[in-house]
Amino acid sequence: MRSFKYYTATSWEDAVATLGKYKNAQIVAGGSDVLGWIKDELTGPGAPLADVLIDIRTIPNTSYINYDATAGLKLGALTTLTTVAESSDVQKNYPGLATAAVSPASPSIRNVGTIGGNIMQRPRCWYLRGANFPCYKKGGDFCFSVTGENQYHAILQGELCYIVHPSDTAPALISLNATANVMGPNGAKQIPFDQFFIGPRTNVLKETVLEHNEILTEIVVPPPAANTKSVFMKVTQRGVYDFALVSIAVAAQIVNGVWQDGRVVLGGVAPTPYRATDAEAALKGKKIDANVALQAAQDTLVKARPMSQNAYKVDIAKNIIVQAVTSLVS
Amino acid sequence: MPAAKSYVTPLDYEKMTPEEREWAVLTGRADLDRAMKEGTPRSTTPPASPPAQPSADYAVVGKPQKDLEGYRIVTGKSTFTVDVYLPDMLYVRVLRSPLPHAKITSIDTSKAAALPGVYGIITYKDIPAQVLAGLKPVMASEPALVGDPIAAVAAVDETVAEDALNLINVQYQQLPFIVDPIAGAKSGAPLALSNLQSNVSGPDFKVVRGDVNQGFASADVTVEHTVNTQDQQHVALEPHIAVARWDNDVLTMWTSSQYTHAIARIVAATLGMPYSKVRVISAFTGGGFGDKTAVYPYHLVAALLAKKTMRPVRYELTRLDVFYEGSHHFQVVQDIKLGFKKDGTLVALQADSTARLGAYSRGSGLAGDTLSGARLEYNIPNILLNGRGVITNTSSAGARRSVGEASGMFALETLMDVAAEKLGMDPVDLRLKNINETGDPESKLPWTSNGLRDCITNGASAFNWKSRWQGWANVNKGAGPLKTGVGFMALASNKGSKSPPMTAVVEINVDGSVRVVQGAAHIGGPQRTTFAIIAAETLGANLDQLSVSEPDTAFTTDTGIVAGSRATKSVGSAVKAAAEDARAQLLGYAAAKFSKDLSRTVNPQDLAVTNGQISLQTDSSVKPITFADAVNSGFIIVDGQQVPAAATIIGRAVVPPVTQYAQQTYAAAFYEVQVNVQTGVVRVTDAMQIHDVGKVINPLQLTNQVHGGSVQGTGFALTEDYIYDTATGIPVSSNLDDYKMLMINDVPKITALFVESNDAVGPFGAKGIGEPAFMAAAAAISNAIYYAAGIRLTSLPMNPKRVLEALKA
Repeated sequence: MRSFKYYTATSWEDAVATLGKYKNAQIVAGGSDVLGWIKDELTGPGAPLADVLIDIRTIPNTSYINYDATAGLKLGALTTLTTVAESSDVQKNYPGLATAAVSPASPSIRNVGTIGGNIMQRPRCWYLRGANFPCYKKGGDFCFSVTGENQYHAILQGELCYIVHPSDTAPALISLNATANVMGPNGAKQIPFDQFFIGPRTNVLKETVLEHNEILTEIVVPPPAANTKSVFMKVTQRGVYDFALVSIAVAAQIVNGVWQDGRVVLGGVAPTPYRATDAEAALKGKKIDANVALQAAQDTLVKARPMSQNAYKVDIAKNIIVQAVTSLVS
Repeated sequence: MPAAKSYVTPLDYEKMTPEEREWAVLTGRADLDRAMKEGTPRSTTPPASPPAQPSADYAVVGKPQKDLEGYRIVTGKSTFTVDVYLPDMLYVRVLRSPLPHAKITSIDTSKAAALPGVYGIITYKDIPAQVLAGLKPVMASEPALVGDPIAAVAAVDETVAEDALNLINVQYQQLPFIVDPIAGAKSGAPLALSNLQSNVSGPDFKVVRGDVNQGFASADVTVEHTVNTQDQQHVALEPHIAVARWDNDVLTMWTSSQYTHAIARIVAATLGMPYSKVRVISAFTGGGFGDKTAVYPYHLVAALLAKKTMRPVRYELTRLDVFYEGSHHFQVVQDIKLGFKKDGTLVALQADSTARLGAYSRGSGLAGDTLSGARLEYNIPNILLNGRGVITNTSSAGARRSVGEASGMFALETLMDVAAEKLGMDPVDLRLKNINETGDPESKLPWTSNGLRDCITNGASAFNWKSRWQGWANVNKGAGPLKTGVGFMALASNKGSKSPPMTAVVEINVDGSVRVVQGAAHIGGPQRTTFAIIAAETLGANLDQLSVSEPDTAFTTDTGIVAGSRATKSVGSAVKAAAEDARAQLLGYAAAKFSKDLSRTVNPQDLAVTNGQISLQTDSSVKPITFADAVNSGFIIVDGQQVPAAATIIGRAVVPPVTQYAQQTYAAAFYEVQVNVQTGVVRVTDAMQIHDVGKVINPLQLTNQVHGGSVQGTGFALTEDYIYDTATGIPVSSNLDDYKMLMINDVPKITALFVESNDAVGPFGAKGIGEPAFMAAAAAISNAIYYAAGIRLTSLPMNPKRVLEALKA
């Protein structure tokens, strides 16, 4: 591992200011992604290797879970995934989020990995994660997956770059209409998670709207509306410690088996968590059964543009939409 | 059956590297070639069937015994090489080629050398041309795979060394490269190395028995398929590592190794030193699975940088370094065809095997190894086998749990299942009908024992096969998205044999304690515990009297490699023979003492040894004596005369190779899988393996070996895949996220059962285990997937992509 400078931040403002001072600085919390990135020497024309790390674990009061029936849920960005998953408030009111928080990696990683880090982690594309591939995302001028090994790549919304978003909690938070609280040089601001992630066409070098010197500080989830049900499912090759081939988060108000309103969000299929608005439209006002769910799945996947090796993911996505949606009424 | 005329292409031993010769000995190939050349030994006509060894009720053998080193290991008190830190030690990092094939046109290390904390740098310019690690360049001038070593830096810590690597300027001239072995075998393909005439390495491996065309002409049912198995990594928990220190002209090297003596011998020869001046130590080895058997560039890098800097040097490879520099289980493409009479009798086998050798492996031997089981498992009068190795710009092919046999058995045993359906037979019955219970048809040597029939029948009964497998009419009959099915395979393997060198010393000390001195690696078997059991049983000692030496070439004997699943049978044979020698001496001392104490002549043959007590069988009124009493008695009977004795007994053994028998291990495997036809995910839900181990030495650790092997075999079957990007020649699944090892949650209930066939040459009748447990999985899983979901998968791994694609096809 190459050498870097290390700062411990005392406040969010301090961390933002230090980020502003160093062009190649990065914040670090659990470190399970950032340190691996540096160890693997992942650098390119548009992606310099971090030479400064700013530890935000030293900022006070950044790990907490506050739930209130009117204000909803507030999660400090440094709350560990284990804490989120084990919270009775989360389990009771947002079961989809609780499942999503226990899905990544292994217990040891979830014990240090934070919810903020899970949202902000970089994609797992093996070309991006290989030191010798100067791809678009590292500021190069090529996507190696298009003609290469693309069995894990995007089936929806791929262009230029065909990464898939790796986070399990991000689809769950979007399905629950959550908002990000962000600290930047001009103070705090709110960004709905629905608008938080950006695709390669907007900016291929990053995956969120955050600027270099902006930091995700808190996650706010509104209180669940009456009759809301939520679920998270994930398909992996091995039983644990695996990124999603396809994941899905669904949250909806369902009255007498009829879908009133809700969101369907897929992970592992597109460069951002994929809001399946076609599925949502197909389900709205319908009494949920396998046929209705299949229609929603077909309406979503008709837009799929699989690559040479990943058509099987279209089948998985279709089937998992049916499974997740029907599970809400079973 | 007509007398088959047989022919097997012999290997060219003159042209082989020491490692390749060791491999040939290990796999029984050398025995076969010798027997084919010289004929079956005539002076010592082999018995028609192996002599039954006494099946006495043993005191120690056969009882469950924890690893005697277990407490030290789990409390962190054992010294693995990664625990070795020396004063003033420097740390090494290596710059590796980003290109699969290139020539270095210039290399400038001056900036790196000027970095504070850097003490030494080597490149190909510092290494004489004849200095190679096996066939791998220590530092490459013509890198032939991504990851070939280009420059090595020794610095005060790893961070400084890595910063220095980034200051080295290398200019490459890119050269054409080849990744795919089938394309590489064609004429006009880019050459993997500029000094090659062809990527196809050496003459084909070829076996001819009978007349294969006539055989297929006489067949009522013919089946065939093409099987593609993948590159697979070892992923030993302890990474490859060498720590080197020079004391004047003596080199000491700590390294995580399966064979210290070979490392010492080859490092010495490579550096032009006497073998006696290189000392190699591997007190504990954190896993190897075949990849810690040979000298690799990192051993020589550590030695050369330690010499250059005059300081101790430590090179611990990163996981990526290991993936690049190690030699791996190799891709094999096999076409295989079987012919049967309609009653299920096998009449013909034709198989063709192409192995991807990577850049620094040679010959057709590895391809031949994939065909070994097919040649020997069943009675087949007509055989034609062809195998070739193709040199490519990928990591080298080498030993990885079974070498090529696992791929070969996958091809054969999945095709046997296809045949069983076509014949309308129970797959169990089809195997039972065709077992070769006699011996090697080519060498004409009989088996030391063959328990395959018992493995199959005992397993079928324990697994309840007859009710869980409900005939071919019930393939893919499950309702719902989760489909359950069972599958079966049989296995014959050349691993687990007795092969030279086999040496050991057993010392009985003045206090009656016993030390077994031998040089085999302690690598999970757990080997030292096995040797202690064998020595204790042979001597009549208690297990707590025993200690077993750690591998250190300065103090231990060369007893061969811990690979090929040979340790129990080979090293165990040496330990047993040395213990017998020590026991004979011990009884001499004891007889002298009894004679003196009782004032009458007591002969050694009048004595018995049990639980560490030596007693006079002919007179139970005489109080038994201890080992210490005997050793301290002061006299020994030699040729009926009392002579003064030394106070330590040293029993020794150098065991000759097996020449009268051919050796195989056998197993049957029954697996149940659940196939999710919506996601393509396959989970193993029940696993049972039944192994012919000859004789159970330690049931607890034997069961552990089967559990470990089954998990590895399931990973080979379902998830593990070392994938190359063919456009760039760069491996992409070169990290432990994308290279998917199974996790504990993926492990089902595994049942390990054993057949004791009483091997004619093994210690107490034992054979080896380890690799057979790895091999006895993939075909059973594929056959179970077929029974569950109606899809035949012939490429590995059988991941969701392949399952869903097959379901759609």
